Amino acid sequence: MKRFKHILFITAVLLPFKCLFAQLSPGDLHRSHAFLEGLENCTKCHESGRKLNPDKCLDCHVVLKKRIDNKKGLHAGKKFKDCATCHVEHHGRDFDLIYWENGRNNFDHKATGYTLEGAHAKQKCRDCHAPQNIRGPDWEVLKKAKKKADHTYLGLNTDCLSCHRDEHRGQLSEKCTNCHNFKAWSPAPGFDHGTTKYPLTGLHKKVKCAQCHKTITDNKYPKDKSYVRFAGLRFPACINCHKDPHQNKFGSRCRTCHVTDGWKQYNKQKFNHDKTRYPLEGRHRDLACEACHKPGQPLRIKRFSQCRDCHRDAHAGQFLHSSSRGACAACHDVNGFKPAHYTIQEHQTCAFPLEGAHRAVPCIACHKQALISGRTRTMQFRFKNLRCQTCHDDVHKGTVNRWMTEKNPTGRVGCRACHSSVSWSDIAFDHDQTDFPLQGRHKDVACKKCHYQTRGAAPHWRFTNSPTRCASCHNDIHRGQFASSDGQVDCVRCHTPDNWKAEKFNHETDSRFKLEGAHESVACVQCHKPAILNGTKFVKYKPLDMRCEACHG
Amino acid sequence: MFKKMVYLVSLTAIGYIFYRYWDYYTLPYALRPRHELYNLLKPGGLFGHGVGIIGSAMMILLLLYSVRKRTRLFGRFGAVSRWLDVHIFFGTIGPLLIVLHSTFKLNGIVSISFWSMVSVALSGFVGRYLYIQIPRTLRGRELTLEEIDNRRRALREELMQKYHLEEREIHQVAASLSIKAGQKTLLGLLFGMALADIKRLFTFKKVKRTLMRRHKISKNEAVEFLNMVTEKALLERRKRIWERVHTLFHYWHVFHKPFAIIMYLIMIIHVSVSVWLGYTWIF
Repeated sequence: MKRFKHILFITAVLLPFKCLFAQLSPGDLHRSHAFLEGLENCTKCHESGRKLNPDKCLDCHVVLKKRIDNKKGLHAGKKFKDCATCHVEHHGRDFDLIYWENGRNNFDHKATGYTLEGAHAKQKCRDCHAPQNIRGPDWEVLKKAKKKADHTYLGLNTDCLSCHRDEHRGQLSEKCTNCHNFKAWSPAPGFDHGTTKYPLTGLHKKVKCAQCHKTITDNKYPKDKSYVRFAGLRFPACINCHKDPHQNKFGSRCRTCHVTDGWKQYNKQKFNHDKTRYPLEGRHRDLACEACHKPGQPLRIKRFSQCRDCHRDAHAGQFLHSSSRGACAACHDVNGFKPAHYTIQEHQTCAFPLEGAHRAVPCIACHKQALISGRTRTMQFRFKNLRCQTCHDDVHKGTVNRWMTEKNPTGRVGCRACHSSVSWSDIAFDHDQTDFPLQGRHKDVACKKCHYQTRGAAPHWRFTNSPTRCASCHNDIHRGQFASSDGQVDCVRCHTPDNWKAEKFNHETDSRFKLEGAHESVACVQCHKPAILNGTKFVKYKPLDMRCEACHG
Repeated sequence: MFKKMVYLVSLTAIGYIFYRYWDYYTLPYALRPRHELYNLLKPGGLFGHGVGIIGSAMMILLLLYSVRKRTRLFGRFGAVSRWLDVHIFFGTIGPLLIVLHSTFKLNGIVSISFWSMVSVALSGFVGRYLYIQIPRTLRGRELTLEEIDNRRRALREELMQKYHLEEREIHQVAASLSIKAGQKTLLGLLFGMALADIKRLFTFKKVKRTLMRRHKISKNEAVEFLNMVTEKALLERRKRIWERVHTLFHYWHVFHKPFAIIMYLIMIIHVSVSVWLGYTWIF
């Protein structure tokens, strides 16, 4: 009876819980697995003696099984072999079946085989795992498996364009990562313009992309109505992008002269200056560009028609008033400043034609360095006057100034009154016009003999007031034997300029002793014996002792 | 002393485990799988499953007490009271281990077993309380009313002789120790006794300090005296309620056993299904 009571009590207690026999499970399944509730369904997931068998899970999750078999995705990893590690069941209908070990936002996406980098790492899961990003055959498989596109993490592929729209509109490769990284869309660090058909060099490297690659509006997408044109650009000719400041004067091949390092960094070797309005000739060819095109100055030279536009007037404007108006080309050419091509013939047409010895004189002997206009010291080409004194010193020390202003009988004036340009010594002076016409041997005597004074303070020429007496030039070798009472000697009583012989002396008339008889044939020296006076020998003519015994003793 | 040490160590260990993993046990169910120790502490985990097996084993083994009590088996392996001590120890520690195993996740049919276990364990404490209200010999045999009265008288004589106290004075001390009973209903009796005994835990110390101060006696002397007074008073109370306690004890058996049977039945199903599905812990 006592035992019967116990059994009755137990039955009474257990009867209300009969339904709980069906709930041997440790908890409700997730709503997606709700159809597996019930004791009879335990073995659909669990296997006798093997706990929870992942194979049983994959019997339903065929999409996943396929990926695991292909060793793709997260579930192919060894760590994720056991489904229950992450997908804990029996925790209720609304329990989140997916266990994210460190939270969903900290999920190590690397385990899926696709590492999230850069901006990808900042996105929320559903930003990428969204229905619109599930494309291609995967979508069909998922639909077949009755997967909800907004619930699954499957179906994406790693092609950028599977999630991102093609910003380049198919202009470039679909392998976006060739240029872009995951940090940001711009800049594209992987892009190397050097690998394109148009490698950037020089200043092109500094040019902003948009200056060449223009934005094209195509209204293709609601949120992206334009794109940047990268492909199909016309770039072989510079003028496709640049204006031609030469107005096609040098053709369309800018690279012949210019490089991309800068407009002014042109290729000097290749530049053909002959195509400019100023072809380079002569020494101009050897000049560095900067010699004319000064750094910091505009490359274009406004005035270049005259040499003076670039060159300093070495002659300090001496020729400005000439017939050439100072044109350098009158004397010089581009082959060099020296020598000037000014010829003798040209000189002959100037105000001072070269004659005589002047022809042999080097230019510099006349055209000496001088202070021009009181400012510049340079070769002098213009002279105040063309008189000889401009160049030559007055060796006559002003003694012949008379002839500088007064024409001589030949009509000449100045130095030319006596001298010619042939030679200094080529004297054209007519001595007969003087008070002392030259006669006899005087004609043969050099001027210097008479006019060069060595006596006195300093030797000098003397042409005026020259003494005309014989004694002024000649010595009295007779030692005053024939001097008059006033001491003067009149040589011409006996002598002529023709020679020293006393041709005019007549012993009969001019002496007190007439020669007669044998005396006529006696040599002079027989009577006029040499004597010595004051140490000087001379012939004694008078007074002589006229007595016979004086000689015939 | 040994018994206290075993309890102390066991309860301390279990208490520490609760304390150590309290953050897990207090987590909502839905969040537990996200806990780092989920795989260790979950009912099927290495730790959770282990304590479940140990606790279940204790719950099975404690049945040996009933075998020892009802049959002649194990008769030579100690007194019934020793077996009861083991029974109570297993009945105390086992459910706690099962609680650890369940991680307070109670649903399905197993929850019936769990709550049955809780009922059996708590009723065990009541039963134990009732058990000690019936005076027994050291080997566990119940004393008769006459034997109780003899013992009470012996104590009274000893108190009067040793401490020169009057009967009235002994009653006053016993009253101050909160030893009383007398409710008419059985439940009133039970709760009245329990409350008085709980209250005595505090009044005992208070009276002890009063005696030590007033009579200038040592602590041991005061405790010895009060223990004698308490024993005498309890004997008098137990003598008075002897019959009603027996009635209570009878009803307790009726409550205690069916829940135990329910618990075991579902536990067997639970364990069987687990083993069948391959959840065999480390084996």
